[in-house]
Parts: sequence; structure tokens; C-alpha cells
Amino acid sequence: MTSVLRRARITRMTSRAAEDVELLNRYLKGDISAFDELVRAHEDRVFGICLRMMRDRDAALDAVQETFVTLFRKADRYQAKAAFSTWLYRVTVNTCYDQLRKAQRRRVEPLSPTAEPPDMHSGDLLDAVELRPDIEKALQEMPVEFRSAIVLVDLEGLALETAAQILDVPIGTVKSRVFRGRKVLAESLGNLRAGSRHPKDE
Amino acid sequence: MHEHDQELIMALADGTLETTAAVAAEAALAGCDECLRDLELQRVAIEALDNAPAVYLSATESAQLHETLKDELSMIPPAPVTRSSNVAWGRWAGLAMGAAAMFLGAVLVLPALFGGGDDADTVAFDEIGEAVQDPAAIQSATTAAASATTSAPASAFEDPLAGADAASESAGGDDMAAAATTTDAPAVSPIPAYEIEGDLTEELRVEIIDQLRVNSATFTLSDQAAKNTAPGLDLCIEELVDDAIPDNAEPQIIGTVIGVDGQERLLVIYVTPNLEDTVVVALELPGCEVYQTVP
Repeated sequence: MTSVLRRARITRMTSRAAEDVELLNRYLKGDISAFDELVRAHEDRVFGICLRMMRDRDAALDAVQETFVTLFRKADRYQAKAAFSTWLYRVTVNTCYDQLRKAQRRRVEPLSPTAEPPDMHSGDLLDAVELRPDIEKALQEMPVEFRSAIVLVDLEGLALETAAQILDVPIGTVKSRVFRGRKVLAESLGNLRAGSRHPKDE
Repeated sequence: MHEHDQELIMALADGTLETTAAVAAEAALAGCDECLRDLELQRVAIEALDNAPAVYLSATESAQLHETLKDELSMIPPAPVTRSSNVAWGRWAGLAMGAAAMFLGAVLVLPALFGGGDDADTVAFDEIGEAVQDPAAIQSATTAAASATTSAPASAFEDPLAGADAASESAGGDDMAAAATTTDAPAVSPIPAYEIEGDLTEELRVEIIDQLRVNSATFTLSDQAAKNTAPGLDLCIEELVDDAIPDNAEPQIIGTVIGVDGQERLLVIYVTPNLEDTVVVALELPGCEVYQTVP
């Protein structure tokens, strides 16, 4: 069963990868319409990653736009070391990290002497998200490193190896982040009985 | 909890273990309350995430995105017309440089010894002189020199840019940066090709694996560059995955096209997550016939 699934994934990725390379080549030779096709091919997945990373639809749309602007300017830097999509999603995740950092800085800057301290866990970013609110809140509460691993592996269905390339960390680190992220998420969901008799992890 | 427990728990939760392995794993974890709790947490999270709906841009959002990009990008110069490189094999770059130097020496010294020096030699000298300045031309010159003295190599070995890429990387090129040359070659270069004489020996295997581990001049399952270089390669990889790789493994397949005794073959290397149980399979192209397997 696993073998069949793996075969299907390989075939699908190979087909998409072929089209990506062709489009990229055309764009790099000056065909701007090929760039538009690349955007159309990847916009939903890029948006999915951004929405789940940023947790706000407008912010996610900004990140999508920024990602494709970066692609437009730096497409010549892509090397065939990995699939084009892997490179694009790496740009996507890095763009989200940048925008999250900027958002955090904006929150830290006090608007007035009586301004509330920043609260990254507040619920004001929950507008128009696609997940169940409890899952979204659980994702929101975990460290961003865990969230990015969960988004790529569990929500976007990417292989651990691909996620490792995107996040630029060893595959073991991705496994650990997914493992710990799932724990945080499950505990947040409260689907386990309260006051479990099992000892809590360190 | 040990790290291997974590891997085992993840494999169990993800359902990537075969039945017998799963039963054994469950039995192994039975006496560990912490492990069982973690397994339960993993399964709860997976179930919740599996039920998450897919995310799409609405038609309006998509249209707005394209419109905004159109406006923004009209003010930005597009990426320059370039070709990208993907080779980072310093050792091979050294060989390419060495071969170029030898060829240069032959061009410079031999005419002096034998009284040569006609126009053809001058042209050759000029080309090599440019090659020294331009890594892309080094391999081109080297390939030209090699093809003049040996039988014609297989097509996959003739990528005139592989050595250039290696030279560029060994010279400290940015990992993300591409060599900026304007040629008619495909914008995304194929994977590199190398020639090996004799059997794929243990010593050579170790050397190649070491190179592949520290460099990224490789392809992955989804890398179309491999397919471009060797049509049908994706099918070979599928067969390899089905036949040679355990279902519970997380395959990392890396490799390159090599030549063995003048014949084009594909070297596929399967590396387990701990990088210890490496299996090397050389597949003969075309046809996916296994040439040699080194456990």
C-alpha cells in the first residue's frame, strides 16, 4: 500500500516538476507569460502555506505576493539541486518568517504609554482561516518552527526530506519538530483526558 | 525517551510500518507509559490534521493577485536571462582544471618543441586562454581535448557546463547563485556525468558517496533534471523504490549519471536517515537493468 502511494507521489511530482522546469526555462529566456503560468500552478499551495503560517488571510495574501515577486526577481538563482517547487516553498516559508518577524516588531513598538503588551497568542488573527478554530488555535500556540514543520509535512503532505530542504535543516530536525509539534497540537486540542496518569514529557 | 523511540512512535502513528513490524513495535512500546501516551498524542494530531480542508485562493483573490503582480512586476526588471548551475564537485573541478592546464601546456610546449605554431594552434591557444578566465569554457576546452584523443563519449558525458559549475562552486560561488553566462544551453543544466574505468569498487563507491554527502550535485526523486538527462529515469527510480527500499524507510535517493567503461549508467544511491546503511545501485541505462549493487 505504502509502495503504491509512494509510486503515485513520485509520478505526480515528476510530471509537475517537468512542467515547472520547462516554464522556468521559458521565463528565463524572456517569456513573461511562462512566469504567469508558474504562478497559477503554485499559487494555491503557496497560499496554503502562507495562510497556515501567518494565520490571517490578508497577511497571507501579502506573503504570497511577496513570494512571487521574489521568484520573479531571483528565478535565475534556482539550481537543479532540488525540485523547483522545493525551492519556491523555501522562498515562501522564508517570506512568511520575515513577515511574522516584522509583525512582531510592529507589535512590540508601543503605540502609547498605556498600550497593552504584545500578545502573539491573541485571537485577533483568527479571521477567515480555513481550519477548525480549535486546530487553528492549537497551531497558533506552538512555536513557529514546529508550526512550519507541521504545515509542510502534515497539512501540505510534503515528504520529510522535502520539508528538510525547504526549512534548511537536517531531516532528523524536521522529524523532531513534527513529533513535538503534534504533541503540542494534540495537547492543545484537549482530546486527551485531563490529568492523564501518564507522566508529562520534559 | 530515546530518539529511536520517537522514530518508532512516528512510524507507528503514520502507519508506515508493515504489519509484522507494527505488531513488534507495539509490543516493544507496551511497557513504556510515556511512549504510549506520545503515540496517542501523535494519532490524535494526525487525525485532526488529516481532516483539515484544503486551502485555495478564491477566484477573486487569484485575479487580484495576478493583477497586483502584473502592476508590481511591470516596475521590476525580470530575472536576467541566465542558465543555472547545479554542480558542486570540487574534486572534479580540480580534474577539469588540471586537464585544461595539461591541454594548455601541450598547446604551448609542443609547438615550440616541434616547430609548430600555425593559425590553428593560435586559435586553440586563444580559446584556452579564455577558458582560464571563464570556468564554463574550461570544461568545454577539456571536453574538446578529450574528444580529440579518445573515442566519442556517451551523450550524457558531454555536458560542457558540468565542469564549469564545479569550478564555479569550488571557487566559492554562492550556493543559491547561478553562474551567469548567456548561452543557448537549457536554463537548467542536467546533472553532472562522470567516467569511471573498471568496476565500481568499494573504494570508489565510498569516495562517490562521500562526495554526494557533502555536495548537492545530485538529484532527488522529484528532480526533473535527472529525467532530462536520462529519459525514463523516473521509471527506473520507481522500480528501485518498489524493489530495493523497505516500505518503512524514508527514502533519500541521490545520485548522478556516471559512465563505467565508456557506457552510460546511472548511479543511484539510497541513503537511510542515519547515513549508515547505504545501498548503492548502478543501473544500466536505458532499461533499468541493475549493473551492480553494493550493500
